[in-house]
Amino acid sequence: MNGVIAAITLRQLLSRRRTVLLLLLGGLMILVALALRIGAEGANLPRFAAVLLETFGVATLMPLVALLFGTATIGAELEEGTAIYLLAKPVPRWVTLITKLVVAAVCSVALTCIPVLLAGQLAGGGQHGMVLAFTIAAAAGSLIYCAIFVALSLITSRALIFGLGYILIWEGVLAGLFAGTQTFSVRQHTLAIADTLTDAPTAIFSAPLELGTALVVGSAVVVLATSIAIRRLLLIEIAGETP
Amino acid sequence: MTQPEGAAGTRESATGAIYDLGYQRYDGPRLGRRAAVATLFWASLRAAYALKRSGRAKIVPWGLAALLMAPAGVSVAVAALVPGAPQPFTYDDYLWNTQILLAIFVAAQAPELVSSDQRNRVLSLYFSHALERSDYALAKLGALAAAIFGLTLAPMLVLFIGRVLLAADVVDAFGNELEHLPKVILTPLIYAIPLAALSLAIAAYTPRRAYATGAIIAVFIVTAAIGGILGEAITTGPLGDLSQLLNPMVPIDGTRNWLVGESIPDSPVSETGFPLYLFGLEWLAIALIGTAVVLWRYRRVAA
Amino acid sequence: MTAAEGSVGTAVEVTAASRWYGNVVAVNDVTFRLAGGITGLLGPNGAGKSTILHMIAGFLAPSSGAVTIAGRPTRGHPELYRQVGLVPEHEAVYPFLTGRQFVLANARLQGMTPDQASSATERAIGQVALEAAQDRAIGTYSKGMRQRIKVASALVHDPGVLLLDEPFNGMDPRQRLQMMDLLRRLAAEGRVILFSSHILEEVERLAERVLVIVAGRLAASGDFREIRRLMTDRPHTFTIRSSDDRALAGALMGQPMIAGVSLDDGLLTVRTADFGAFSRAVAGVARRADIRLHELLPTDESLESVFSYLVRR
Repeated sequence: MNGVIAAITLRQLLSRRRTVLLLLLGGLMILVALALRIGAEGANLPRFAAVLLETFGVATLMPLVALLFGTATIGAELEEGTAIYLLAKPVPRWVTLITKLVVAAVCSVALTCIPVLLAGQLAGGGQHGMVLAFTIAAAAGSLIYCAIFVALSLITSRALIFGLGYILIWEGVLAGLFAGTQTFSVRQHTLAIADTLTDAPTAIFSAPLELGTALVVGSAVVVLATSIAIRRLLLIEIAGETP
Repeated sequence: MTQPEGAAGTRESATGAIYDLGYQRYDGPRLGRRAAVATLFWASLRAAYALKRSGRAKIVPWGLAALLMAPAGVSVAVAALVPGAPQPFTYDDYLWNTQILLAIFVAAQAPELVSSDQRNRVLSLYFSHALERSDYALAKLGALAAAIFGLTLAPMLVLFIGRVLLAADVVDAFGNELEHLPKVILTPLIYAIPLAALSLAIAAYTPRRAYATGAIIAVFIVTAAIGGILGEAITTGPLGDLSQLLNPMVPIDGTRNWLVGESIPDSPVSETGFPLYLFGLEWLAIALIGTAVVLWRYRRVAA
Repeated sequence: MTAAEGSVGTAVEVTAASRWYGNVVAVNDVTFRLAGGITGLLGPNGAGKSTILHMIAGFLAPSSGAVTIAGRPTRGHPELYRQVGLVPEHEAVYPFLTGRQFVLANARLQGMTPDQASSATERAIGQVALEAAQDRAIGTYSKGMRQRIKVASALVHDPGVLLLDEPFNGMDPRQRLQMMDLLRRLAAEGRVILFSSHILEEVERLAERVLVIVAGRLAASGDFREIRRLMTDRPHTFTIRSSDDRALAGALMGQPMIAGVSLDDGLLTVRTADFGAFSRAVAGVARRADIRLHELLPTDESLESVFSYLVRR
């Protein structure tokens, strides 16, 4: 971890526009939780809280936040041309990459887990330890997502779109249709972790994937994605503007 | 460095000469504003499909087009191989079921149409010609709507043709299916117009494509999530049903239902119990407000 | 004013280096060695200057041939960056950092301790004369100021090799002169300085040695006056003022090495294929004809004429 790179990356990621947009998203989740609290029948509240945490928290907020931070942490610098100042240094490339990944992950976790915690609590999901379970699971999920999107941003210049395709088509549509794809869905990994950490009955919330599979595949994905990212950063070629 | 009007040729004097290199002024007819708008329209339409660009640029729009067509193709193949098998898709629910692909398409391509021009600062070039600012906005809107229309019409036509050709009696089937033709043509149109207006309204406000893409897709998936959660959870009072209206796809489907089609079980349109013309009104509001926002933006943006 | 030969420790060697992208050859079999002093990389836009600079900076691998600094390939050896300072052409810098923070960050990234970095930053900012603006955000800088802060960031770790890609972009004449003075001082301390430009005046004024790149190939290298002398298939042109131009013209026309004389508006212009022979002969011819020579000037020995010749070849 390199402190200078971390500080610069943090300043870059938490730009005003990006932060405001993501805070708004988090705020929306809290508003929906409030609406649930007021409008839904008390008996069903835990189940709807689970739905909120699963549909808004894990399936919408977590991937969007991680996508924006993950593709920006190094992708934006490469596109803008400031990356050359970080790369023309005797700092080993893997240090640079890991630093940026960690900063992106920390930002993602912060802007995902805090709304999840607050909204989940507000919506009455406090029973069965669901809120805490989802918060922890979302932290893990954010990290896996960030690793994937950082690697993606070093592979293609359209990482944002392909990341969206992965989230919305692979995890959204296909994982619903073909059970096999669930093994490689970060969303399902996150839900599996949450399921294990909470003792909520199946009627309220359950995840199809087993914890073991989720942890093994999730960790493997992080390691693989980070390795690919480091390798690509090592070999990256930067031509001048006028070739 | 002036040459006498209309006189092309070498000018000489005792100690110097200017040689005629064949540089000529253009004196022919100049096509006016209409032609400029038409040109911009066609150029933007081509840009939406990434024609005339590298193969890599084509991956996103054509990949999405292929994915959009895939279920129709599969449906036709299944019907061909297993006669009498139940149809997985109807004209009514096809676009509803594939809506996420439409959302990704506009999130990806709307910024290509309008954010790039701002990023590259070429607006001043456009506005210095016969093109008015409003022309630019409307041409872009028209082009994106046309692009979405083409994208969504294709699978519907595949379904249509499949139904006709695979029937036992083709002529008879053609006659039967013909009555569905308005649905086949109008449903894509009902999708195209508000999607174009909404996504362009968002994309026009930022020169950075990544922000535009993120904002557009956020609108779709966040509103869908909210509608889904609250619509199911809040059964007393209007809040639950009203929250369903947040997702732009819902009034689109409602309008389709109202004008040309039947209700779909998956869609929240029927669940809410609102009269169908209400969705039509919201559809109109999205289209008009979106267009107004784009026009306003291009009237105000510094070129 | 020639810089002392730098130690082998920072010699930049480009050996038969080529770089292609598919069918497009950006750099074609270029060879040169830099051991000290200021060298200018001159060429039209798109000639391959940036590509060469980025290969030396280790950001591009040569498709064939070798690019080394101090004997080690520039690619894949990040420790070389301690010895190399790069000023890229691209304008983008972190707009939210102040000038001082930016240079300081670069110093820290080079491995300096906070104290070392702090004093090095002060020195570097002083060298580019940006003390007054160092606490303003770079986003508020003018183009010239941005260039100068980039140079400061490349100098802060006192590198032996300095690579500058179009460094005078956006600088006003006074800033340019100051920058040139700075570069001359640095070169005098034994550094290798390579800068690229397509502006002839800059290269003419600053570079001790010129590498002319045209369409990816090294068209010429060395002192530009020497290059001119080597261009033997083009006659040299001289203007002469004498006490009797017309008589001198007639006398010169009889000499074998003269390609032509012309008398325009009272100015005697002489074209000769053999510079050496002409310079030996002209004094004698004038004396025998009893004509006094007032002025003898080569008229096309400028970098511009050298350059236009090489580009059009």
